[in-house]
Amino acid sequence: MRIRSKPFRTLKTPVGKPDHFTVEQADAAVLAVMAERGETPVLDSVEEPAYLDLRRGRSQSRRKPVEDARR
Amino acid sequence: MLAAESVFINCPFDLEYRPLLRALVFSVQDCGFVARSALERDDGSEVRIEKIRRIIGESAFGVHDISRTELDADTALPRFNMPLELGLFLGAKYFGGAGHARKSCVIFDRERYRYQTFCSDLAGHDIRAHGGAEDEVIRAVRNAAQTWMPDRSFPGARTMFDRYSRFVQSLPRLASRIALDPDELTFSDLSFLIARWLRRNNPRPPFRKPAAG
Repeated sequence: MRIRSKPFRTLKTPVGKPDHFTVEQADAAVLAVMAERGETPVLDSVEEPAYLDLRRGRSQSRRKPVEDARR
Repeated sequence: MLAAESVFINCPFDLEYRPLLRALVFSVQDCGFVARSALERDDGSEVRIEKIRRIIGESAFGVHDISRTELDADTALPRFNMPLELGLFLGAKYFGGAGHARKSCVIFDRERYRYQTFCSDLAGHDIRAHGGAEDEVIRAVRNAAQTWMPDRSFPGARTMFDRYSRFVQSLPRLASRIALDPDELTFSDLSFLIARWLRRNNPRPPFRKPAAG
């Protein structure tokens, strides 16, 4: 019997925006400090905010596929 | 925002509490949730209690720290914001209908049974004692997250604390690179900095395919 492991958690993007810097500046700072400390980045998976997924899902479901429109 | 991803953090925000706040936000985000707080958006037009009510409404989970319920030296009265917000959260769970009935939370105090002297009606809730220690906060949040989402797996508490310690060691350099003092970071700054750091620090070793042949 194949034993399935539980899915690992995925990171979420915080709400809003940082107050004093941009996300790009934060990324650059993280990479620079990791390099200073001799640490190697290992990318984790990040989910888009759930509300974006919902919006996209809704807009996709409203759009009729071309094949359907021809029938 | 989907409520299932949000954790309302109800805790003190002063400088003395800052290490525990960092540990709370880090552990919530490392468990794959979105940390929410009354400080997340500075909107002077929104009444504070309305903002708290809205965030509680949008959060399936909560972390409440009532350890700062103590007498003020000047007024000889306790500050009671944290117990009040815990009450709002529990009220939403009990009276908010089906959408809120599954709300869950962790309640922290300094010592496990101290609450009985100032809020004995909390008896029956599992109050966790953190004793002011960041590793205890991280362990409790991580273990609670596992019960909230039993179908997911999470980094272990030890791994999470080791990673948190690395983040805290890096924080002064990170903050200086963006021309800030670590103590000046707002809640949004802190949660984004943690999020971007976590993104580059996967707790699992990368999956390697076995060599061909």
